[in-house]
Amino acid sequence: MHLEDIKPAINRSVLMLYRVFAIVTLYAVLAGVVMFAFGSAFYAGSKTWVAPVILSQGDKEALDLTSKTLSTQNTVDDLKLDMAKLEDTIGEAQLHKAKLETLLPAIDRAIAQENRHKRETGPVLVSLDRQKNSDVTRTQSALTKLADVNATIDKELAAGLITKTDATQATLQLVKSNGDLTDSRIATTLLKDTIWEKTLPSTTSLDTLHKKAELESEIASLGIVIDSAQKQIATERNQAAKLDEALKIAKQTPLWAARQDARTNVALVPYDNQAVANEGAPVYDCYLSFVVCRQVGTVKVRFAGEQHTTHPIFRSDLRGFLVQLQLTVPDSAKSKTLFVGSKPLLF
Amino acid sequence: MLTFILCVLGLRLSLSIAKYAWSIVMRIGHPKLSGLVQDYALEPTVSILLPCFNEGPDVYNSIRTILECDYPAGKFGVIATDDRSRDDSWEWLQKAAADFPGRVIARQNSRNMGKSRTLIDASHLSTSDIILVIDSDCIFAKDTIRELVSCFADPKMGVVGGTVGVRNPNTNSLTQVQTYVYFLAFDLWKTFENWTKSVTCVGGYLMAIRRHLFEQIEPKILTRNWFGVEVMEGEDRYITHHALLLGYDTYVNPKARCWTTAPDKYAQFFSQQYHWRKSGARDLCMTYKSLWSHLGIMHPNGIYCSTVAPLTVLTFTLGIFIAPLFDPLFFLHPITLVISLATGAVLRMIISRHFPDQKIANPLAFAFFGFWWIINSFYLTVLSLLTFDFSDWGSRAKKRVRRPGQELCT
Repeated sequence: MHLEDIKPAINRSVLMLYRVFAIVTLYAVLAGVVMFAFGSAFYAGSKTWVAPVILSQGDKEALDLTSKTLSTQNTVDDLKLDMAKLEDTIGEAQLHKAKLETLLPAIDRAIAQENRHKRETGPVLVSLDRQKNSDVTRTQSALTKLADVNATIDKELAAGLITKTDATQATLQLVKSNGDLTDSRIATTLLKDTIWEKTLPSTTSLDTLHKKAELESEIASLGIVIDSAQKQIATERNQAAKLDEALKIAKQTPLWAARQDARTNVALVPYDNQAVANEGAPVYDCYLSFVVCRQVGTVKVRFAGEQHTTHPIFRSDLRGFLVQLQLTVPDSAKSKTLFVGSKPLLF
Repeated sequence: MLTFILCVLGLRLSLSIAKYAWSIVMRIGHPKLSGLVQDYALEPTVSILLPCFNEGPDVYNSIRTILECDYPAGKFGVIATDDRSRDDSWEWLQKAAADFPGRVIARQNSRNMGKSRTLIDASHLSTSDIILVIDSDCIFAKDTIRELVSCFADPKMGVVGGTVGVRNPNTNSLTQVQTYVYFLAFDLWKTFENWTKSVTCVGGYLMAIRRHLFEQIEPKILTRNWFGVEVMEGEDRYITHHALLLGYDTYVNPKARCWTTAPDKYAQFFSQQYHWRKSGARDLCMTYKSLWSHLGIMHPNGIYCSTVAPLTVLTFTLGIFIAPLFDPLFFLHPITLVISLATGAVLRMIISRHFPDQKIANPLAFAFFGFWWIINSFYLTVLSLLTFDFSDWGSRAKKRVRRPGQELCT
């Protein structure tokens, strides 16, 4: 048998295979194009579809959220501890300040009393000093006049005019008088010191004033410490409140829900479709994307806050918010899209 | 996504630029090979084969303009064949034969046979040196025939074509788009192949071939088949390719102008483009099947244009097929539109400058061309690759309806 003899049969076979392949391929391409066009048109016009997402504890975002919430909670705790410490500090400072503040009037009173006493005794002492000086002057004058008495006593003793005992008594009397004069002079000097203290500002009073100033400074410092601590407490209280609020918000997010459960089914609702995404609304999953549908659960929680993702069909940027789904058929969460509120078609 | 788009466009652009760069290298590297010899005193006898199928009164108009050409009347004639049209084409052919006795032979096939066989049968009535194959709605310039035959001064020149313009560039957006398409396909695209006289497809709307060469290729045309199924379309590309394989040069003389009526209906346009694409796909298969026989005979630029350049279309087809997997909105990407409009603006400027009669009224039509280009590159390529077992008359397969009071004018 020659090749030419079987060539027509080969041709027919090849042609038949080619035609089968061509018809199948062309219809497949046509079906693909039609489905693509219809699918694109459907998703462009549909107002009920949502894009399901499965969240789990192991998700990077959930782990990040756990890490961040723990960190935030620690910060809040630290702030609260710090505020307690600051409040203790304020209490102590206020107590100390109050005590110091009670000292100030006592010091003032003591200074006033002292000054009053000085004003009273000062002039008296000055008068006494003058009198004393006069006495000393007179005493000295009298003793000067007695300067020759000692020689006279010796002459009279030598002459036997007086006895030795008399002479000794006379001499002792003389010495005693001189000593009294000296004492008077000392007393005068001391009196001058006293007068000086009573009439002029003394170092003691200055020390008292210095201590008063120090006391006032310490009170002021304590005031500053109290004020600063109060301000810091206010700031930290504000910060803690904000962080608490952030934690509260974080606990209302789907990722927090994911942190609680091993698997959480959520869905991104595009803003265009937000009208249907109410809590309790039925959720449908469909065969062939949107053709034959069945209810697979309900919307459990509607979360606040904008989310971004990629459009499951058009692959463009998609904005919307998340809802938590209560699915009776968990595998439906693996579908590309789900429908909320009603079936996309009538069946 | 942007990277992907740029990669697809970049690959296509690279292959296209490579074609032009390669042509430039060939032209510079082989200046003797690229030089064209023309002799306007050359006046060989010419038989103009005009196959006709459902052309209606346009065929009469074509014959009239052909006969008005500036070429010795005794040295050319028209052999017009009706391939069993379903309209009044045959009556118009008979009228032409009656109005121009001795210069027009009107004949009718016994049954619908397709363009290839019609041409061959008509060629048997010819004894001329040159056979000029044309489309039945083709309108000639006065010097078209002389421009064509002058190129045969070079004995190595086997096939010579001309450039075709659109008679109705501004009928609607479809014809505007085709004005771009024709310019790209028949002017710009051929220019670089012309440089090395290795045009891979001299269009059947205006193709002059040496008679002995045509006879040499005729048996191959008659036995063309796809696993036993007769192939009826794409004879122009087939003839050109075989002329190159036989060692002849092929050339498109840009000064030889003719005009054709571009389809103004989507179905016709689709059919036309589909047949062009199928013809190219068939040729690509034939080229790869007999690649070794090309080496050493065909000019390297011709080999490149037959083997690598068509891959640009396939590359883009693949790109379009894959693109929606990455981004379903790929076709609406602003870059696609911007590139389309920018290309259109440049082309419109060139067309308006060099071919004022082809000036496109609506420059934004190129945005539509960009859209069509995507469909063309994708679906038509797939369709043509999967319908090799089917042949017909292409855009003329459906009967034309003659409008009451239609005038016969250019």
